[in-house]
Amino acid sequence: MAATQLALLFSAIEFALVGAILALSTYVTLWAGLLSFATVSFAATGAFTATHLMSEAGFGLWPALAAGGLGGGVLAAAAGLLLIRLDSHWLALATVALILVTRVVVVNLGDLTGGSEGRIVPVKVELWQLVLVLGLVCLFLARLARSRFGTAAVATREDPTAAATMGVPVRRVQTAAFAISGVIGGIGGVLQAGLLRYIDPDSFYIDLAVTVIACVVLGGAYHWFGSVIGAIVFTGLPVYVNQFIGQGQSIINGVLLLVIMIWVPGGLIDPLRWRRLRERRSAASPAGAAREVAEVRS
Amino acid sequence: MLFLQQLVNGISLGAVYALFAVGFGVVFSTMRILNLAQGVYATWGALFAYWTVTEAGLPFAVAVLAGAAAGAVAAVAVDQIAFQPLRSRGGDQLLGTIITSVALWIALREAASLATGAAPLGFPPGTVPDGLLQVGGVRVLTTQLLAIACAVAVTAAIHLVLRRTRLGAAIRAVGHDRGAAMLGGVDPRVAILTAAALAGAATGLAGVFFAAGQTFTFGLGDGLLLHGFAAVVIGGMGDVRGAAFGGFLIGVIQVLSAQYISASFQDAITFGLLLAVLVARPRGLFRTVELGRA
Amino acid sequence: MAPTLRRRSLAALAAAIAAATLAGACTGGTEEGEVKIGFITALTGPVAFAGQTFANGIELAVDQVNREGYLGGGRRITLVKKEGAEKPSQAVDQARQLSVDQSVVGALCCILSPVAGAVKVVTSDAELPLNIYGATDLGLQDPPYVVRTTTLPQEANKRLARKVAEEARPASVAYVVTQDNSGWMSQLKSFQEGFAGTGVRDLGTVDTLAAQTDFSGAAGQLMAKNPEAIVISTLQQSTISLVKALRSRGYRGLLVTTEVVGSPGAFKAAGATLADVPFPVYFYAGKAGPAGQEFARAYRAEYGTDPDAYAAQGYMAAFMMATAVRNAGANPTRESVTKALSDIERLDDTIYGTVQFRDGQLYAPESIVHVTWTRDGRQREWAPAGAGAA
Repeated sequence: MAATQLALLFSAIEFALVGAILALSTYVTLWAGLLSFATVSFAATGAFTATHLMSEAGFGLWPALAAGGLGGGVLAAAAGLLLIRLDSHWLALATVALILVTRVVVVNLGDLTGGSEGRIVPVKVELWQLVLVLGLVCLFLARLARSRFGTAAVATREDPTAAATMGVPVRRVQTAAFAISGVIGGIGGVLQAGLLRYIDPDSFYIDLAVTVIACVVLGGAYHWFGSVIGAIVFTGLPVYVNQFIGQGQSIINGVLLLVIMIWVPGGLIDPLRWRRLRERRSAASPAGAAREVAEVRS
Repeated sequence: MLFLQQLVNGISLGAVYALFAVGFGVVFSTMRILNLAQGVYATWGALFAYWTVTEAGLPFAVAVLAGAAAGAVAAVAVDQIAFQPLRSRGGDQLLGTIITSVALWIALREAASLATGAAPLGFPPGTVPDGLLQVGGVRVLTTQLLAIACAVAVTAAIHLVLRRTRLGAAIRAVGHDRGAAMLGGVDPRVAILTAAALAGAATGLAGVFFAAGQTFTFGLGDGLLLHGFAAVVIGGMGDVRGAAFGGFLIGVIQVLSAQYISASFQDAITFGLLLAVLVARPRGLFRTVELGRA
Repeated sequence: MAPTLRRRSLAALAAAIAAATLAGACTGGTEEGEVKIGFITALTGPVAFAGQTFANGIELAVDQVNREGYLGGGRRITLVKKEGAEKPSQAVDQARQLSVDQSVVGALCCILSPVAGAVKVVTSDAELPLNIYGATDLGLQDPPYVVRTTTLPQEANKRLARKVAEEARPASVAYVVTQDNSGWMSQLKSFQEGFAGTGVRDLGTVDTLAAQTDFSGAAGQLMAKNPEAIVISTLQQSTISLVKALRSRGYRGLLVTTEVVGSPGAFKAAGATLADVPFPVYFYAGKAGPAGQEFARAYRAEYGTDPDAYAAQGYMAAFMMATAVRNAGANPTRESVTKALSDIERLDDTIYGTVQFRDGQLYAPESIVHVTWTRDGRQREWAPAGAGAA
């Protein structure tokens, strides 16, 4: 019995790891101040490209990952060039539209994607491969955060106009963020396909988009580690808890989302809150309190 | 003849999308909220209308009102539970409201699934007006006419409320700038609740007319959400007339493309148009008045 | 401060997971003489109505097997139920959970063909024998690991088409199909084969989609062809909506459809518009043999309605699995159940009478009955006399 529980736990961890990669893909766009649902489209592109190559051309997992990342990246770069000039609300709407269009394309390219019947994924993904890929992605993002891109992205996010006057190439930063998001999303899609062992147009649709956004926002959108924690809570935990709860699980998920959003608005991993707490502890003085008030984020 | 027949079918399907789009547009333009929970208002509207005729045995007219009321109640409840706490925090809460609207979307959807046992439901024959009009070989059902009339009336009514009444001016002022609205002596809370109720009622009606002619399940709102979303973006959110036109347009496109091109391409055409409009004319095809930006 | 906080929340998370693991470990455990069979249910999701009666049939069979000591040696079957919602991703996940539990020696699943196609990959990888109870696409069975007790609707549809052509004699027929689902395309083909060569003119096929919810356009297309009969080969919800849409627009011709409208839930949603619409079933309580009558009686006692064709298929699936477990000897394993399951070639005195298995697929063409609903919600054998009297 313990063996079964262990296997379930591993299954949950696997889904959490892939969820984390997808969440990180969305995190990158938010980093540059863009609210985008498009990760799911990038993931779908990566997954169907890779699955096709694995079935027809006998690709193994690593070349398939490269192809999937490339596919996601190309779509993201194209979408970025086209969509980034839209205002925040309209960009969000446009990325939702992109998901709808992606699904329609998948349904109608039956020869390549299996159409609405879906397709069996011939290659299986192992736990260590997931850990390795997620580790590499995290490493990459941690280095990126300390690079010039990271500084430019944060400046763009806080105030694009001010950033532009300071000489930050706002458009270029955002397009780059989109492309990076696409590559990571494409890789995440391939891994998700390898876990599911079967993908159809609904495998990459609105519900996954919503889960991914929830992971990022509730995990904490101001640090890449937040996306990882968010993915554990919102993609891993449900897989494991599933065995105890039957109907009504969605109601619990919904209430959880609501409660976190209202009570912990900065997400579970919130560097700003930590800084405030730290300052409160270190200097329980009027000056510290004043700084705290001034720091309330809009 | 076939073309006319399918045009009529498309317009009546479009009436449902139009009702939905009007509701969606009112919320988006006044509150700047991308409300993904909107679809479940339609589901609950349809369910309450269904229970009104099957459990309470009341006539269809009462059911229509019950559906609208259920939609309005759901919308106000969602607004107060999911959006008010974030609104009171101030600032741009687009991201936060997306998450909370998703939270209520999945919770209310699951509640509808439990309430119906996930079974398909249908208004029993005889509980829905079953008249059939034949005009020169074109067949029109009474329910189709009702849906079209209702969509036109609701659009006109909401348009008049927004443009010609003090309350409407307040609602639009809230959409522009809440601070300025308050300075002008308007209670933003009343304005917001009215807007939510109007949007919910229109969406509830969409659900009732969508469900009346066929079978439906707790998932009714999901399909409506996506097509209604396309309609409102294509038509433009600044003006309810644009949103309504977008709805009719989507309905006609859906039916005619299935007839003359292929059923498998109808969504491709609809959503392709959606993306094209977003890229080329992000404010919609029929923008007349631009409301304030977030 | 920050690292402490982070460490603390991680520790809390780890503790929560550990607690959940322990809780899970305490709920499980295999008792002496207990044989575990996995069952991927579909009580929610797009085909929940059918999932419910399939499940009723399966539970009834397992109860009966356990009560009668059918396995011998005091052994009992315990169903390990996992809700798959008939979505490929969720069902595959549940199949994986069943696969990792080595005490589960067999599995039952799947109503929709794409879901069955996805699940069987996972169970076959784990060498877990699978019996498909509801999916209809041709060729899904794949012995030794995958067998199927689904009664094939294709054969039944073909016979119904012939009967309609010979007895109701429509001059022309039009078809409507769920174009993006291979199961329905294959059922459409069987109707077309049945009508081929009978002199009934084929006026063409109207496509609908699985996700479609509005059928006014499809009804308009069909009626514009002016056929004397319309064959509906679509998902259940689409079928009911189409029947409603056609009848409310004054279509008076003969409507012919598939087994999907056979469940009581379907009649509840459609009402009297379903009257006199023929469809084929393999199990009809009014014409069943002694075992079938007994099943119908037990089913009525338990659930208060007549069993529909799906309940019968569920019952048959569980019964076949129980037979394999019995044949697998004192200590059934995945290996021995797999062998016993694929070795079954014939079963006597089942609810369908005597049935044959060819290459892992159940055949029972003798039990096909053509039935229809009456206006007051009962089923009767269909005869063309009442046809078209809408």
